[in-house]
Amino acid sequence: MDASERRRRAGEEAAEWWVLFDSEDVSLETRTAFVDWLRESALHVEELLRVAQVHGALEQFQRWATLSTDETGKSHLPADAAGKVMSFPLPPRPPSQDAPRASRPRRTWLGVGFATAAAALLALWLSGLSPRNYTVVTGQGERRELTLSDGSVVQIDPETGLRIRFDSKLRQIDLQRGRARFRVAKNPNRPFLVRAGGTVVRAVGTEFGVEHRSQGIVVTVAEGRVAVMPHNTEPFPLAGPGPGGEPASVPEAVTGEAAPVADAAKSQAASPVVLVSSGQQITVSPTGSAQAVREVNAERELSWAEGRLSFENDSVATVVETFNRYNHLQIHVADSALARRTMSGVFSASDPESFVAFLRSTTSVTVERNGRDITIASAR
Amino acid sequence: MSGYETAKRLTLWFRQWRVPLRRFLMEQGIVPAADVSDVAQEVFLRLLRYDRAELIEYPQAYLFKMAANVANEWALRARRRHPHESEWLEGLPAEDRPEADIAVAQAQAEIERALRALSPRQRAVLKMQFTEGLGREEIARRLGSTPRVVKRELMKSYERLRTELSPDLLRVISYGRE
Repeated sequence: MDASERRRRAGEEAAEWWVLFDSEDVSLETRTAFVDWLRESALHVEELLRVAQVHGALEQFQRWATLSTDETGKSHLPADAAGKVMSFPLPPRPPSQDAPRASRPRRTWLGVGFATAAAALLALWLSGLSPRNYTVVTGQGERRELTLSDGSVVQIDPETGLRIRFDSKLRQIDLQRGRARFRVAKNPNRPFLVRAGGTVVRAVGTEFGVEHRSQGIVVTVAEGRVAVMPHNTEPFPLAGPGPGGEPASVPEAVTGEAAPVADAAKSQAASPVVLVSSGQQITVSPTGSAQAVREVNAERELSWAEGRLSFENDSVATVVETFNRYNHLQIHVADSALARRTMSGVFSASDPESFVAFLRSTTSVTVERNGRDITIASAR
Repeated sequence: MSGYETAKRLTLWFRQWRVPLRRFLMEQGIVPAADVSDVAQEVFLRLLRYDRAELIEYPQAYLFKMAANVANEWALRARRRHPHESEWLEGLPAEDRPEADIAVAQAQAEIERALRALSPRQRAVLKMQFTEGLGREEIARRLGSTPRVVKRELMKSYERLRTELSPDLLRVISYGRE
């Protein structure tokens, strides 16, 4: 395939991606395929940016009203030209972008292609090798406790993803989803930052939990004090070098990630810092607004990190869902009356049977077992 | 489509990116060699350096944010090299530059020409999308077609326009005004 053919193909694919992403709720598979496609070649990136330009041009176009969409009435043409639709007289084409640009030899794709690919692969390899920069993902029922190189301890809940980036100036954790509890080793010269959904939590030496919950990002402090910057859309403060030793372009790219477009500008204007002390909790909603700090029983709120689950007037559905995240054994609730019933109690996360036993002792339910599945239903 | 879903749209991220890139491309006289190809090259390298799992979360956002960062960084670098010229450019709104106005008028004509190279149905689809903001279901209903076909037509249209439109004029029009 020659260079212009590759460009044509890339342009075709870019148009497809653009249209796909412009309309639908894109699935994880689609997003993955898109990222892989972008990372396949700089040509792909370029063509996508050019398709974006086309879109921009159409948005700026002011003469839609007079543009004919009729099969026959080429209204802008004299009558005699209308008959010759097949040989539609186009004005002379401007020089094609495919034509080699003599003044810019480095844009000869075939020539640079290999060097580019080699450089890119090297960068990729280096970033993969860096031992202080890694991602931890836990699955269903999987809990992990990590001691970091600075002595801090992270307890990671099931179905959680976090990325650890340590350098000489900063200790950064990106909590992508799920929740984790941090016991931070004191080091005032090297701040410990946890970022979750755009919100940044800064600690010096303390113990706290950060959770992605349906109502937003929840930060609970067990010991010491942390500074919470709700929905930070500024470049990550004091950002150090990125993975490849490059001055990081990356942190900037990340911080706005989850911010709905309309909110980005708003939250950029004022990024208040809220101090949260031990025994307190704060919730930052997905739109970036922080609720008032409230007093909580922090040990209880953070008991999940120790493998204990505590519930207070929670529905059976919620309780079951939580247990199912922690265990391979899956509980199913057969009827909605039971699912809506509320309950309180503290359980060991790894012992769903104790919850079932508890339910049995307080309510009349039937329990049916089938291998790794337990079905509970209201007794009739 | 919920507000949240809407925020994930590619076009919205592109709009955020448009301003810094325009600012950067307006300074072409200062950085003659740089354009979208160069930005793309740099963005590509950053994409490779970046954690794949994270990119997958919001690929659109990352892509355009990186492009905006590259444009900003380069514009800044150029400004440092030529402080006077750029101060002058900074203080001057794009709308007040007569040469820019002419270029914008040319660009409008160029887009119209390119649109006429599309099939009438493709033009109709684009017109409904851009003037009435209709979704694909509605467009399909009006044309007595299916959303699938409408999507296909959109893809073909973008692809054709991409080869049809001159990159220089595209630059003017895509970033010309807000």
